[in-house]
Amino acid sequence: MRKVFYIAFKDVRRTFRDIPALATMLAAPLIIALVLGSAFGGSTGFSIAPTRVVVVDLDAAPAQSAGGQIGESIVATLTGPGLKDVLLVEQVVTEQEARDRVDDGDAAVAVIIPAGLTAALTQTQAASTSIVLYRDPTKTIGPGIVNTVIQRVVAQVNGAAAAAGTAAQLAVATGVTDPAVIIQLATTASQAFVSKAQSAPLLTVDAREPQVTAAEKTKVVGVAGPVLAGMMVFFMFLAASNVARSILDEDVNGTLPRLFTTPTPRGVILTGKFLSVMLVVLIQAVVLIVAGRLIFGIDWGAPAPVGALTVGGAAVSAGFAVCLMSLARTPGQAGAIASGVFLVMALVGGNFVGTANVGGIFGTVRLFTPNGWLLKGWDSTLRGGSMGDVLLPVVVVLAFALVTLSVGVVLFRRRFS
Amino acid sequence: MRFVEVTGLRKQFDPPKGTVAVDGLSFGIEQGEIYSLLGPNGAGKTTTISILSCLLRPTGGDASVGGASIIKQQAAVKEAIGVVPQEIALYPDLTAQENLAFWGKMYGLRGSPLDARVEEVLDLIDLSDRKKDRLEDFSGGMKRRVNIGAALLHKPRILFLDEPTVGIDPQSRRAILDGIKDLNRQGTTILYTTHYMEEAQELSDRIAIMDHGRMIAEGTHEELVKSIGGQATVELTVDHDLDRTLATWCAVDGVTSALAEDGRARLLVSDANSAVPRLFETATRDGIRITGINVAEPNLETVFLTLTGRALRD
Repeated sequence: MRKVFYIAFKDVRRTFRDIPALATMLAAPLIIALVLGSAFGGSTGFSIAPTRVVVVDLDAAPAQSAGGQIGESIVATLTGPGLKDVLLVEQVVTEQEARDRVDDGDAAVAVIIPAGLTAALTQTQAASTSIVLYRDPTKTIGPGIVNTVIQRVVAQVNGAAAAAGTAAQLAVATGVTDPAVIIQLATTASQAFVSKAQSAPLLTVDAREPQVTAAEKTKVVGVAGPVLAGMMVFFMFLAASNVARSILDEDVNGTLPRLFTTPTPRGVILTGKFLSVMLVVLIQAVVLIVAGRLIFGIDWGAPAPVGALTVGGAAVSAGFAVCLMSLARTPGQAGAIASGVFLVMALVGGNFVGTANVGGIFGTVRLFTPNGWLLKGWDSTLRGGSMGDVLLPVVVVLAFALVTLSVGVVLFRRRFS
Repeated sequence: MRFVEVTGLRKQFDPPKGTVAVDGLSFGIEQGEIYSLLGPNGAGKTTTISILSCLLRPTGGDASVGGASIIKQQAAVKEAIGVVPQEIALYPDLTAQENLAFWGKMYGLRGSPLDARVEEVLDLIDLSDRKKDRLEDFSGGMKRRVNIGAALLHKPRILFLDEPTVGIDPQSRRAILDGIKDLNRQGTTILYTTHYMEEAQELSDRIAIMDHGRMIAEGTHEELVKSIGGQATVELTVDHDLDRTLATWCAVDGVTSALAEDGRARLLVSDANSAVPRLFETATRDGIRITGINVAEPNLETVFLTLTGRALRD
């Protein structure tokens, strides 16, 4: 039994002396998570850098319609407290200056409020007009937010105008002929529309996220956690195949046949090799989990489910790696087979799309891979799930591990009998 | 009973039509002797070692090492043998000390006895000062020494060495051969395979000459040489059509065989003193100019040539 551990530890030592292998196992997933995490703002929440916006308010209409000057209202909305973390707004004097700022890359979007906007909309016969958004074509998120904000204001203005117009028509239809009365009725209607829309809307949107069953509340899960979980699972399979391939390397190099000439049973030798695969991957996972915590501040979840997923992930990646290596004739062939298979598994399993809940056919197909189950489990723990929430994913991946390892063991024993 | 007894050993790869690498081999090795298997590449030497090491299962026949059958008592055989494979079978990214410690563990050694034995072997192979260096930093000769050292850790009763001096410098080869003699003096039985006649001649108590999986001769060096009538080898270089020249010389009295090797004529003659003048006479008569000549007393090369019609290194 000792010899199993001697062989396993020898391989673990050799693996951790292999700098390129270490780079693949540890550095690559961390670097990818760092890049993606930095791009999306870090571990907590999805955040982006504030968008630089320039506004030119050419509207000089007197305050006649609902809410005062419409141009001022738009500027006030853009510079309001609700958007201060998302937009950096600067007012400029001329339209050309605004366009130049975007062209020079100093701003992502220019909001050009046309001259006479309020007057055009508050006339008895309102004329159609437009607010111009002059945007940098290479940027999408910031200008998109500005567009949404402006659209809300526009919808409110249009609604108020429609209310005013409808009130005026109703007044005329019911026999009111005094223009002052008609205007008063229209003004009252538009003011009422704006007031009701802001204070007591009839229809609202309630945005929610799925709750894990045993958690009291859903944690806020940032981007880095799911990304690193996806990368960790993918690179665990790659690392496992690298270590498992050493069985074939040793056969070619002569150390495996030499081992077979020693009074060490073949079963012990092969068990030691298989154990080394599992140990290396386990160490890799622990390092990545700790690094994720220290570097990105990822809260992986409760120790029990985290531990179960880590062990399950190590077992299934070891099982798959041993199985694939047993099918290969040469180390070169093994490398090609493993890379291809694990890449496809990662693509299907969702390693590269994070652990966001995925529905539809993709959500079903990914569960044909151990990757999909592992990511389902990691999604639960990252959201505060308990052991009960990850029990099914862990059982499934252990079943995958048992089957694949059994196949690998049988094939290797036959080859080296 | 001899320490190693091989009876009718046969190995065919991919039967029924595959290559027969060992074909009915029978020999015995006495305890304490150095026994060599001498033959060209492909003669079946490595396959024989692999079978006796329990790496390959024979297709037919049996063998025993120290009284234990290689088929039924493999564990006992493996306890008794140390195997030095032809290729360097070590871990290049481990140090010499780590390599030896690992292989010692595979033979059941551990703790302070293992540490002490590793130091002893390092001393034996003269690499104590390099024990902390990784094998990938060693020269070929140094790697060969560690390769041998790894087989000595458990003090085997018999050491199998499969062409241990291939591809190394003369100084390292000398050190290895001297080391093998020392081991033998200390009581280790040696089974040595080689295609170098000089090594077999220098080291061995007895030699078995193999070709195409069969033993074609066996005995001490003197017995083998005597078996072919003590024929000498005469090598001649000519500036003429070699094939025509060989045909002419084959007919000369005292010439047993003639063949071309490396652009030279290689002749077996019963008596060099009388055959050489006749060869020159014939050459002069036929206008053949001899540009070089070398006469060698009967040796294993000659034996092989006589028995097979081929040079040992063909």
